[in-house]
Amino acid sequence: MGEGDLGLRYWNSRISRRRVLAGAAATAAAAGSIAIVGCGGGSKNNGGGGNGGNGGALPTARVQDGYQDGPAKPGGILRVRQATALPSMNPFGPGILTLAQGLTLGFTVFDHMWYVPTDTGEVELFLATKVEQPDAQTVIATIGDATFQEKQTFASSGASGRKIDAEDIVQSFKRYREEVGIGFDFLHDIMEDITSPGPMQVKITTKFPWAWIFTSSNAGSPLVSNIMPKEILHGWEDKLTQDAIGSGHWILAGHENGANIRFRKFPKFRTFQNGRDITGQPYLDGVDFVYITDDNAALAAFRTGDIDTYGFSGRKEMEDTQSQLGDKIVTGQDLSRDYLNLMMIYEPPFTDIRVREAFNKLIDRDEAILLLNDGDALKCGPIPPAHKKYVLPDNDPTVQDYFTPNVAEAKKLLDAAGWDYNQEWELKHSNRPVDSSLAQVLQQQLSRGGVKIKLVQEDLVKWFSQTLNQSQFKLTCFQHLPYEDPDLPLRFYLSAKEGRSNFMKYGEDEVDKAVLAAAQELNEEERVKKVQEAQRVVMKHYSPMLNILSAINFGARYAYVKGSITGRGSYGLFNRTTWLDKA
Amino acid sequence: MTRYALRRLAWLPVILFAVSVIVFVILRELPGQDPAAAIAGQGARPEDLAAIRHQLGLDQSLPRQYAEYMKNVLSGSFGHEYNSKREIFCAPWNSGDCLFWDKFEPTAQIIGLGLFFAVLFGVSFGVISAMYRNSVIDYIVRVFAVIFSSIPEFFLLTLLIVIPSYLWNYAQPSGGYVRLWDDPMHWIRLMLPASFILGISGSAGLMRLTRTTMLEVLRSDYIRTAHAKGLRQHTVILAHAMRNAGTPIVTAIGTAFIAVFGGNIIVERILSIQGLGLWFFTAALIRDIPVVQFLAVYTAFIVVLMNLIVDLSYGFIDPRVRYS
Repeated sequence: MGEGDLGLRYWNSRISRRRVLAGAAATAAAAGSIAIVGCGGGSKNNGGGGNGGNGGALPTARVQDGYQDGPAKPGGILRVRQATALPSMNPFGPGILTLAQGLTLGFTVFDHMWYVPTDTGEVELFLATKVEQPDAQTVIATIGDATFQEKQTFASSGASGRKIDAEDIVQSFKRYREEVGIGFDFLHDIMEDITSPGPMQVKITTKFPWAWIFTSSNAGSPLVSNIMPKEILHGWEDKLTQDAIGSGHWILAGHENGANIRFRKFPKFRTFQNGRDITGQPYLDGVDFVYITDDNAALAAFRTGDIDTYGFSGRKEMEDTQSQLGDKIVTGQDLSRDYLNLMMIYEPPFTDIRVREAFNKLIDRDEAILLLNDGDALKCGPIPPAHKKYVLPDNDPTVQDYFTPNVAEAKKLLDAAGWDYNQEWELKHSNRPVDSSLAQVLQQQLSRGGVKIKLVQEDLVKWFSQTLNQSQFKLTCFQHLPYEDPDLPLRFYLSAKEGRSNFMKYGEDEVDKAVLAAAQELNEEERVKKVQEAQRVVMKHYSPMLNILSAINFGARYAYVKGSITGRGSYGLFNRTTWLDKA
Repeated sequence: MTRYALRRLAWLPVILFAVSVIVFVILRELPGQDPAAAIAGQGARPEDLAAIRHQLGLDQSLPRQYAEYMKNVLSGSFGHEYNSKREIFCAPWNSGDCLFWDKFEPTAQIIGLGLFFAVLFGVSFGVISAMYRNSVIDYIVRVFAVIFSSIPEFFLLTLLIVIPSYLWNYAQPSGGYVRLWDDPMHWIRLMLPASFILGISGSAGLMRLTRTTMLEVLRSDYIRTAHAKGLRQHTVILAHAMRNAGTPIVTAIGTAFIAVFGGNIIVERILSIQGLGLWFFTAALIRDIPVVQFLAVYTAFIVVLMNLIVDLSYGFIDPRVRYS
């Protein structure tokens, strides 16, 4: 099953351990990062081959589809941790603050036409029963029968308990498009239009061919592809701040000012998925999010059985807990899709490729892995190593060169570029512990080449909304959100499109061409090659977002929690196949 | 005394007005404080930011914004929280309609209980320590006072969580605060141990202050006279010494009492309590101007009020105090 705090772990495990950060800021960017639970027998490594560009065994959780534990026993309430209270239940609204509730509800209350798991990259049909692509810029989805939940709050709208039609999906997409987009995004920059040619058909057209259209960064997003009743998309904001109505498998049963959120089974949830009969799902009666802000309290709650799952801060914590609880719990690890990076503004002197290459050569990724993650991470190139289908192999010459630090060579490059060693450069970072720690490591490493770095810490909201969003930096570093496919990691290198530039204000024709070639290649086999080629081009240009590492996540669940979906990215967050085997 | 109190209270609106103006200007004018940018986040275009500013009324002139704000305040509304859109403050008999009382209740209870234990232990042990000066009891109490004043309360609270879970497979109840009558055991398990720890931690300083003050008083002639008259020890202490030592102790308690109304973010976070401290911090972080504005003025109100109450209490404690 997926991690209990449903994507909030990304922020909470990183920030709440040592710093007191606001709940709202912490919920500000929920993501699909999940801790991993399980393989059988408490074994720590779930296998996985060396398919990443990073050497050695890839600690990817064994792929389990949720049916591996035999016939499910219906009933029971799963209890998972909620580290921060959601400021509102409204999935709309500008900016990052709505990501939290949108994603939380996106994996629970709202249904979607499809979802693309990280491991296969293949479309899994949800409400859609058929998808056709008559041409490179058109997708036509036929949806099956489903109804919205019955919610008293929205009874007067006419949406409560109503059958879903295609226009609900069309209007939902359009409603999300009214909001401020985040970066170069699907709804604003790629999607041309969305219509309903028939009551059960949805047609999406794009401005140009877009191979990633189905993924969770695009039309399969667990946020912007939320299916909501068209009646409540406007004028119901007051109600939406407190309640939600969708057609997903969980009904929002209640909460306390955004904390202790309770979901209960939607008995009329659709019975089909990807050609399979899923009658009876979800097997659980519900999921309770238990509000626990403090990490120590959360671990204590897990140890005593107050919550059923937990995401550890590191391997030691996992081993310690395993030694205490033994066979009562099942632990596991998986490679995260989030990654750390150093970003440079594309202005002099960073427009000089020699400077960028020098910086890259000063970064010792192995050392960073040791210092920041106690060795439990893998080196990261333009796309995170978790995207094993697409990531370049270890023995690729470009990768080998890119990942090899060389201080002497870096100094030569800086000298050749006329680097001013007297100038001090501000490296801005947020006050999240992971970003602060990364900044300190980078300062130390860059100083070996004579680069003077001054660390400037900013509070998270200011850093995000101004420093990063408005590109008010020369250097900045942070942890990227985890993305389920290579699209977004590569999109960050694309130059300005219709006024939305990347954070670095970077633009290189060859990089654009390579990234877009991959994004517009509809043949999967060819796309893999083009994604790999795009990575080589990015590395060759030392594009000014130097990715450093992706951490390994450690998690556990109690052994009575069955039916977990593992190794499939955020797909497990839906928890439809989860069940409890309590005697 | 009544006239004195009224005179002090007359300054209250002036002080609150000044605080509200200062906070109002700071929240809107200082660099990096643009709530529109904070709300809009990345990718926001200038027109998007302009739309948000217009929605929040931030595109009007500062005096106009303040006039609008005061108009609302005088009609009983302190505005709405940005994200939840809920009313920030309302009358206690309508407490379900706004956020303030939801946050105030748990804060007041945990901090209030903590203060109760702090006063109980601090004053009691301070008196005992003074009475048995330089005895074993005195040394033990003073050592504990030094220890507990050195250890931060959040560390003690963390130990309270970690140690029982390791040793006895016991954890504090999860899910944060619940009302006593909704789940008495949950309330007792969450609030009492934590407030006890807070009390012990807070009592250290109060104990030392009480001891010092009492020692000074116990050396006085009138105490010697009281003993000479044959009064019992507890009568001397309670009826004579305590009253004379009371002023600085009451001052310290009064200052600590402000936290009852203002919250303690670290405590709230460790205990998963959605209290005032966490609310204030969150609002400041995400530039939720109405909430920050309200809580700043509210804090000023509490500080002024508590100072007045403490000042007035001097008159009851020490009859020699007269208010001119």
